[in-house]
Amino acid sequence: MGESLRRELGLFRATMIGIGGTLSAGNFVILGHAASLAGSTIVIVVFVCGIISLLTMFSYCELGTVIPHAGSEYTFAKVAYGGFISFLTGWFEWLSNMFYATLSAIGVAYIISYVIPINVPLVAIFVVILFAAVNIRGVKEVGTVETILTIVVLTILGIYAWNGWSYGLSMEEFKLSAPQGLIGIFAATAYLFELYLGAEAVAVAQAEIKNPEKTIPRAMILSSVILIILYTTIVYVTLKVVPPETIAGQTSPITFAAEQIMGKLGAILVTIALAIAGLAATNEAIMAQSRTVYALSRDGYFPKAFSKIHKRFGTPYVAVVLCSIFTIAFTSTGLVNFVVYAVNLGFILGFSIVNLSLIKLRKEKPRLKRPFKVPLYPFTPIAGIIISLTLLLFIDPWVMVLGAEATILAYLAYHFRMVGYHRIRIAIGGINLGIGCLAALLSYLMKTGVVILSGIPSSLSEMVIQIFVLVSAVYLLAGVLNVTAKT
Amino acid sequence: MKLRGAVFKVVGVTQSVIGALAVIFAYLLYFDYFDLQNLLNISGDLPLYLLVLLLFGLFSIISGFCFICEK
Repeated sequence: MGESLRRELGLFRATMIGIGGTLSAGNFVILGHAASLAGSTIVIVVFVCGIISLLTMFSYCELGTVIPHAGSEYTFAKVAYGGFISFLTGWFEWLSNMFYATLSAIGVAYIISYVIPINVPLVAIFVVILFAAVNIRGVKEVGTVETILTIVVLTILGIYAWNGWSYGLSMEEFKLSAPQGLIGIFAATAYLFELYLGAEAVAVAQAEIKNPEKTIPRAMILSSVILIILYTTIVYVTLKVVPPETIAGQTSPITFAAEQIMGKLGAILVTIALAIAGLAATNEAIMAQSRTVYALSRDGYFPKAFSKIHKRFGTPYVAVVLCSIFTIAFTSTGLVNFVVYAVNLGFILGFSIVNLSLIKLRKEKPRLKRPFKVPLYPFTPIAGIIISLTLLLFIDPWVMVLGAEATILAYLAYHFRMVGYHRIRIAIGGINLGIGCLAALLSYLMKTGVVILSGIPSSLSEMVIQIFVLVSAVYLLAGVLNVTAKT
Repeated sequence: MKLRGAVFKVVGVTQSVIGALAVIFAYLLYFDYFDLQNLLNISGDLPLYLLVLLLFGLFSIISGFCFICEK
């Protein structure tokens, strides 16, 4: 798809892609919870997260310039490992992008809710549906608009930082505090890890970048450094104005601080900036996850239907719809912290695989032309892996359970593909017949009074029986059709 | 062949809809919309019901999609 694209993006625009891909409304909403974990130490946490991210960005730079037309963790793993590892990488890339889209949409809604009272999950769902439609329709020539919007967002955040610098506590009065000690600091680091996700978008857009061998590494490193300075400054300014314990209770901490510094106008200005950033991030995350599903389907891991291209719009519309359904399901919960940890889990694994892919390719293909080389190899990628994996210890246990389940599901899905479609159909048919028989038996037992639904009104009980009869009929028929399906 | 195709589509769509409804029902049950947990007399066994509903729902959607995509 990318071969026909014209190379028009220079260093400036490529850097803006990296910054624009990272700035998301969700990133500013989650600062409140991070402040409750690490107090004013989050200034240092934000800086450290940037450095950890930078370690892996070096690997992205090298792999992005070595592997033609690659850009995502999935493609890197495909070249370096192939098989189940590459499938698992694509699987987690899809899931983490799905959670990132969820976080961005919820973030936009929370940011808006600060100035206008709205139903947060409902608005977030609307944002997802809107950008699902945009992605099905396909938008061309958005590069320039995105660059302009990123500049607008950066300018507003710059105004906020400039005004806030001389407001509130002086540098001498500002004291670092960590209410939960070292554990809280580590927990905040694991929580805020996702702040810098998105700078790798430069590698994804490499087919459109002029002189990619030089521009990609420069743009990625430049955007990472700018983001480290930007986030650290914004968090420092915010904590100078508002104490961490006050920030912890805010739906939009930055907007709250902007209101203290610049009044209502400041709050509105920051809301506009963060909403723009959030909308752009939602769009990019929906696009990224649909492209991952498209690639997995194209490579035969997912059903071929998921790689169908819309005749008129030329977009992978089935993948977009599928991804949007899952995104909407999680968006409707409005759960921020769970989604943040889920994003982090996916990207921590993704980052580790990128670093491992780099080490493997250096070892097995030493003669590959490498326009950019990771400095201090092998210490940089190894440090990237160890530090990222250490953060897993501080991720919400429920998210870890979800991650384990996702891995088992990926393993099953991968091996289903290996055993062949016909055998899968027979297996599905068998399960259908089983469910159909069970539903028929339960409806019979309930009808004859052998099984009684206690504590439920009789009218509702009758309805349950009818549902069981319908389910048994549909599943028995589905079972027969599956088992007798042609090879 | 046209009839066979139509039957596949109808069964596929029905299964997918049943699956989607099961997932939505699990969601409503979890967040206790319409006081469902009390209405259905569910207390300690909620995680089990959610697991069954989600597994059933996801399986139905997958099975339904297989029929819908059948050529």
